[in-house]
Amino acid sequence: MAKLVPSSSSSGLAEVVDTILDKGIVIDAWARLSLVGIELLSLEARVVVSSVETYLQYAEAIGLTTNVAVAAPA
Amino acid sequence: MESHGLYVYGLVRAAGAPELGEVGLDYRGRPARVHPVAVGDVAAVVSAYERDRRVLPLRRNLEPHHRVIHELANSSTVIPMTFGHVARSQREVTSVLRRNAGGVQAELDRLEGKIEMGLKIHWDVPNIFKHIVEGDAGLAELRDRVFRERAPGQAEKIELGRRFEERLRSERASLAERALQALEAEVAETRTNAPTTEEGVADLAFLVDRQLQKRFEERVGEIASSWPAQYVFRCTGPRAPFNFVDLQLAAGTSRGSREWSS
Repeated sequence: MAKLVPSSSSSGLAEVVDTILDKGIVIDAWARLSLVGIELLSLEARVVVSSVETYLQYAEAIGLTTNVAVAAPA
Repeated sequence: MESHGLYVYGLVRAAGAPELGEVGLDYRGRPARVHPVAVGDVAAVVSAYERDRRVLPLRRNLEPHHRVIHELANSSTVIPMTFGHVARSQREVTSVLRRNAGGVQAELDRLEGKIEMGLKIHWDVPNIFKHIVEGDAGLAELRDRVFRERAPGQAEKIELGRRFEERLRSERASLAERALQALEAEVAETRTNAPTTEEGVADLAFLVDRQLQKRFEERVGEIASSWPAQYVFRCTGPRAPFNFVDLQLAAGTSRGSREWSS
C-alpha cells in the first residue's frame, strides 16, 4: 500500500515556486522578471536530459550499487 | 496622468471581480492595493508597481503573487499570469483587455467551475539506482560486467547510463499511464510534467470540476492504497489552472496589431 501524503503539509511557497515561474500566461511586453544574480534552489533542480554527462553520472551512481567484488590487484 | 505601472496577477470576469485590499507586491515600500481593472466583461487584477522596476523572484514578491492568485481561484475562475508581469500604465492594461476580450472570455468559459489538482508520485526506496537496475535482469548483468573491471571504460559507462535512463523512462511512462487511466473518469483534462529528480515517478496535473474535488481526492486515496508500499503519493491543490491555460495575448499598440490592419 503506497503512502498518501496529505496536501495540507505541502502547500507552502516552495511547493509552488516552479509553477509560479513557469506556468500561466505570458505577455512578452510586460514580462519584467529578473533572474540576474539570483539563484533559486528550484531552478537548479536537475532536469533529467539525455546527455553523455548524465549517463556518466548515472553509471557512477550505479557502480556504487554493485555486489561484485573488484578484482584484487595482481 | 498616473506615473506608475501596474503589476498584473491574472485575468477574471469583470462581474464579481474582487477588491482584495492591501496585499499586493510592495509599491513605494508597502503592500499595494489589489484591485480589478475592467473592460466590458473581463478584468485584469492588478496593483500599483514602479514602472521600470524589475521583479525579483524573492519570497517577499513570490508570496503576494501566489496569495492573490490563490484567493482569486478560491472564489472564481482566474487565468493566472506567470510571475513578473508589469504593464506600463492602466491604458496598456485596458488596451490588451479590449484587444483580446473574445479570447479571454472563451478561456474563462472553458475553465469555468474548474480547479487544478496535482498528483506527484515518487519512489520511496533506499537507492533508486539499485532499485531500477535490479528490476531489470539485463541491466543488472551489464552493471556487474562493467564494474568487474577496476577501471571501466568510458564507452561502457555511457552505455550503462543510457540503458538505465531508458529503463527509468519506460518505468515512469507505464506507471504514469496507470495513474492517469485510474483517474480519467474523474477529470476533464490532464497534463504530464517531467519529474525533476531521479526518484520522481510522475508529476501530473488535473483539471477537475470544483464540485468533484473531494471525490477526486478520495479516488487518489483508493489508488494509493492499491499501489505497493515503494511509492509515495502526494496530492496537491486546489489551485488556479496553471497547467491548463492556453492563451496567446496580443499586447501593445505598435506591434501584434494584425486584427486592425485590414
